[in-house]
Amino acid sequence: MSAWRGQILRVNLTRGTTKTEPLDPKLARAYIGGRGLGTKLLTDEIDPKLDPLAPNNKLIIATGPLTGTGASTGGRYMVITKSPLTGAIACSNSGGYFGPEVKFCGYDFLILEGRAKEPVYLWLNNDSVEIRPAGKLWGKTTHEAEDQLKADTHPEAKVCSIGPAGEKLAFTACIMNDKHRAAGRSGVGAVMGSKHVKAIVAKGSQSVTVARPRDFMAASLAVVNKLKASPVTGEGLPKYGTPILVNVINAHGFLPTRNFQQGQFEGAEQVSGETIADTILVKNKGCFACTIACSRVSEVKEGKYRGAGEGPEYESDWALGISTGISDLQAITKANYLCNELGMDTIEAGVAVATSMELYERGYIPAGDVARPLRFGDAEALVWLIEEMGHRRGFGELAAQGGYRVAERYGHPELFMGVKKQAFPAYDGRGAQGMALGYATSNRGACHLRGYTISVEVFGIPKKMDPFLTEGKAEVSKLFQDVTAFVDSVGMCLFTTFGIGAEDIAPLLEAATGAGYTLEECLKIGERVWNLERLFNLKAGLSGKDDTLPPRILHEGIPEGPAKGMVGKLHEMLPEYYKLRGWDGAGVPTKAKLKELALA
Amino acid sequence: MAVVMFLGDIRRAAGCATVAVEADTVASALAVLGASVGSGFAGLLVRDRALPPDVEVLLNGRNIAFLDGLDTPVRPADRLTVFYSGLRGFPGGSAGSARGQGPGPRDRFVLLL
Repeated sequence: MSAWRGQILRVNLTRGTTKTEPLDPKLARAYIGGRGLGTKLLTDEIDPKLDPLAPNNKLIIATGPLTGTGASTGGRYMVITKSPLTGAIACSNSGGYFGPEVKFCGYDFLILEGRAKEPVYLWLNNDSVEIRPAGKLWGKTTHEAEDQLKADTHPEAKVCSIGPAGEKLAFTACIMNDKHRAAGRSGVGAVMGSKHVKAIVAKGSQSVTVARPRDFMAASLAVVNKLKASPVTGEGLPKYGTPILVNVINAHGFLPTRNFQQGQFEGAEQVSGETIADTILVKNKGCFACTIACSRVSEVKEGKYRGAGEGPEYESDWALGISTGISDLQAITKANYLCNELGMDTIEAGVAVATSMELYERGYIPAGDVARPLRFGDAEALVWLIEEMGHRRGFGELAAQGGYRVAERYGHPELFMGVKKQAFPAYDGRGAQGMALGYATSNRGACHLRGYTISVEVFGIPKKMDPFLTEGKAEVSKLFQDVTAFVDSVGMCLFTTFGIGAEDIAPLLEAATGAGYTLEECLKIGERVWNLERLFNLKAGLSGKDDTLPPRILHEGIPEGPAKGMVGKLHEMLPEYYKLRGWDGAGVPTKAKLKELALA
Repeated sequence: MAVVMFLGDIRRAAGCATVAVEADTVASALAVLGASVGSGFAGLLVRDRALPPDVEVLLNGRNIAFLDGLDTPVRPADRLTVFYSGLRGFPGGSAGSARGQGPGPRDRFVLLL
């Protein structure tokens, strides 16, 4: 096999054994890799109804065929498991350098099963695999653990690890790699913690070969040239990064503020991309083989939040700041650093804080339940609570389980802003109807990375669509969801799609694998992956009833600004979406659709 | 007077975040910017009496494409927001795909983290 390494490493933590298995070429052909093939492996191997934190859940580290090939941005890996946060399928995606190193060790997939008796870490040193004790690392931050693991193994090893949040099974826990990159959403860090795995360390020297090197080089060069020529991937993202969105979305009136109680934030300018670029930004930085380099290396040089690291990105800036009504950029940045070090998803953690603040201000959380007041706009409360959550101390023990659990505990689940118990990202679906539909139907719960209709609703690309209207949004959502599933399967970064399209990625994949992929087939594979995820969720006990939005989004109009009075008009879009998907009225794929997708 | 807010690289080009203008329509507001910011700057925003394909203008948060375009009336208390939609310093799209100039939505899409 070319591009694929042709091997799966299976680690049974209960027995302390490892073995390699051949990768089935037919499955690889049909699901590509990454999110697609990882989902296929998971759905074949686990009971969807199992307890996500039980030993029989599996944690799959999945690379794509283009991961480690040198294709621009070909450095992605996915973490696929059953989510403890949502009870649905989880697939979290990360960049950095860890994914390629797994390929350089000779593996496409790592499957972790069972549970170690004591904390361990995996040491992948080319063909050699060791399960090593990690007792001395337990309790360490991701940064401390990574430094120690490199000292104990190889200074150039690549590390993914969990922080204290993951060790303590927080549903907000993520898996961090290269210190600042996160497989963030859906609580995948808690699953790793439940297996008593602190980290995976990889150092490999094997190259990834491609089927037709000359064609691959030509296709790669064409992609790089397009990415460099694109003002977005060649200039915009490196210069400003994603936080430039703050002012734009605020101007549109659907920047969710104070737990979605408002659609505009009076402090937006203070936390905007323009302000970040003028204040805390040190430089931009790229992941493996990346020709975009959008990461924000930042530093708070003085004051009580002094520190250095990476971020905030737009979503983190919003969740930790705007969502909590905080305009202190230094405090937001500090909270972002803490999330990275303690191993928490910035979105889920930030929304948990915002949810708690609303519950507190409304008097639903008794003052005696928290060690200090939790009010919107209180920067010190934000930083304090994030740290409490990371260590699961005091009120932070509950808040670390995410906003849904907090709202449910205090009798007001309707005040949790999310879908399938996963928090919304930084766009209010009331003002952007396509996002409302995308959130409601996302297989992993509320997510902007499963169908980014902001593209058409704000930027007019590839065509302008009025964000307030529902017409045509079902078709766009389905298309974007399927294409995203394809891109997530090959091992490239979604940011490439600012400058290139699936029509550029398909020939790159074909030249790398020699497997005969066409563009149409790639899109069909995306649809297959989406439906496979859906089938898993249905078997897990979710249904069409979970394709919904919180009462606030459905029934309470945005109180002021350009989107004043708007609500999420899901009922106008969902039936059409189901129909376009080939699902019945209850959101179940029909037999005909499953047969068409070779899933029957 | 209406207020015009610049974002991203347009702000850098303007050298300021906001400017107050007195105008009857969006077109006249953008033209007035030539006097207050510079004629070269105004040329970035309006070419051949039309918006360049990469420039977005909001009037009180609504894209003027969904209103009356450059003829959209402007009142003294209004707020205009001007930004690049993906070109020259703004994440959101690529030149080839903008405004139907490139491949259609089946094979061209844009996502943002």
